[in-house]
Amino acid sequence: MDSRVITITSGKGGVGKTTTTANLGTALAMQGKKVAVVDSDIGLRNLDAVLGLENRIVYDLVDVVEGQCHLRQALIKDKRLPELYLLPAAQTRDKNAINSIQMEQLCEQLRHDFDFVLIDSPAGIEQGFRNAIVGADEIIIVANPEMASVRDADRIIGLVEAAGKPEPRLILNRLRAEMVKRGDMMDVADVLEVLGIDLVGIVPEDEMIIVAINKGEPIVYEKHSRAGSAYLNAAQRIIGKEVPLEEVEEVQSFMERLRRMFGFGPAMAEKRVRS
Amino acid sequence: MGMEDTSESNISEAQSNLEREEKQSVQGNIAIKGTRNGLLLTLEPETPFSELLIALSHRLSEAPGFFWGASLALDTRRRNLRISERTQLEELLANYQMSVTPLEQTLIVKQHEPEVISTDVSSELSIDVGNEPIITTEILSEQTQEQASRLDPRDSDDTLFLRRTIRSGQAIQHASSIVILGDVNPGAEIIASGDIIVWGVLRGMVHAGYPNNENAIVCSLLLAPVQLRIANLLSRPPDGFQVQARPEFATIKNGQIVVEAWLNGHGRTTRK
Repeated sequence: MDSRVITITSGKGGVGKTTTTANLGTALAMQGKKVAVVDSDIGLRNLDAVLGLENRIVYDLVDVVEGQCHLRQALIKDKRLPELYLLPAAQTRDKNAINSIQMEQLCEQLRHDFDFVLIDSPAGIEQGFRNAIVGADEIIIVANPEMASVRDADRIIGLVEAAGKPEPRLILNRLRAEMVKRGDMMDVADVLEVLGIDLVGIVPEDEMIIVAINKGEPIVYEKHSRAGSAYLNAAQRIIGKEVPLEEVEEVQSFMERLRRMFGFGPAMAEKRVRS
Repeated sequence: MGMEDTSESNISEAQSNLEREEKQSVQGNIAIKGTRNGLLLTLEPETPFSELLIALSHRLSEAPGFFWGASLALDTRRRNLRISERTQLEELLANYQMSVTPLEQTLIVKQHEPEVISTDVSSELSIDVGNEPIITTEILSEQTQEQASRLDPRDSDDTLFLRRTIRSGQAIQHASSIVILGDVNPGAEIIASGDIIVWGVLRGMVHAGYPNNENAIVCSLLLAPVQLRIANLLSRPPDGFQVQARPEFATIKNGQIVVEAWLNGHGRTTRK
């Protein structure tokens, strides 16, 4: 089977890795793909809650790795989509409960049964991160349009390349068009200028995401949500369909563009021009 | 005293780790030994360099915490590296903040040209040293430092050329000049004993003329470093500094780091 193992990571925490994993997984399953989403954030599991499956967990990833159960016993079938499965993380253990070799073997096992295996990586660059990428064919980096997140993403790209993986792709999350318009937020071009990697999707900031997470329903089910449709489009691009990137920003004046292009953040734009 | 002696004289927990690791890594055609002066890397002479590099990469990734920031001497008794191979090795080590100490250079200078100061390190690198016993590196490196201080590292043709973006957390250190075709991002560190030339946007930290060559320059298509150091001077952009969208170069003038536009491609000749 021509299956793909994709790790979603970011370096920085709180940028939307888990939300992205849940929504891309759901969107891919809606396209008729057989999908496993794996929560590798051992000790801080959340993917189950975002998918609304937390009360169905019996066995988890560490149980599988330690041979306490079979893989299919630990896989939880989604409430709505018959082709979507979750492999939850253990909550009572930590990142060192499994090693890279075990994780690689697990990915190979999952690869046999699924079209897509999406791995939700923990934040950071330590063992948990290394476990998350070791078995991956592709890496998707989630970043927010702000300096700390972009720097961490840059660091991750370097580590991914050092690990011998192909160049990662980017999902730019939580973009606020009105702030970009005011020049108060880095825009898409600013981020790409630094990172220099391909874009898979641009997801606008959307209050409905918080509601969706609290309800345990991925935002892609919300027909009118802009974030939801952005994730649907990103999933299409992952499958290989050509979908134009969302229009999220107004065209800026030439001078503004030029000034912002070279600074790291919008603060630069207001600064004095040296004669 | 031979290298083997020094490795045995150091008994510690780290040492026992090393011995265990050595056994594993010998299988991958590379051996890493602990010595008083740091780690010593031996490469299998018959194996293709690309395989050695992969083996080393695996080796490092297994215990990144252990190797982080370590300095590594290259044992050239059994295998010498070409310049391109050495560059690849340095690139790999840079991911772990590791640096290559000039054991090989000191050895070659000592054994082949005891009286002459070699400025052409690169061509020396390919000379086979044979199986002669190695003299303690400590004494040798002191001598070379003395020799090196009398040389301008920029006269060496051992320039490191990197065709990629240097990203946050990556550190490149080189005993001569460095040319980068790509950007240097914030959080990256470039340290060169000679000049640093960035054909791209320079946003990270750079240190040219390390540790004390005041003639070194830094130039870039867009000079916006977090911090810029030349020799023993340090500068950072003043608050409210507007980055100029033009090629610039930095030099030391009257004991200060000065940044000027690179005019008509004659940046260095425009100095007054």
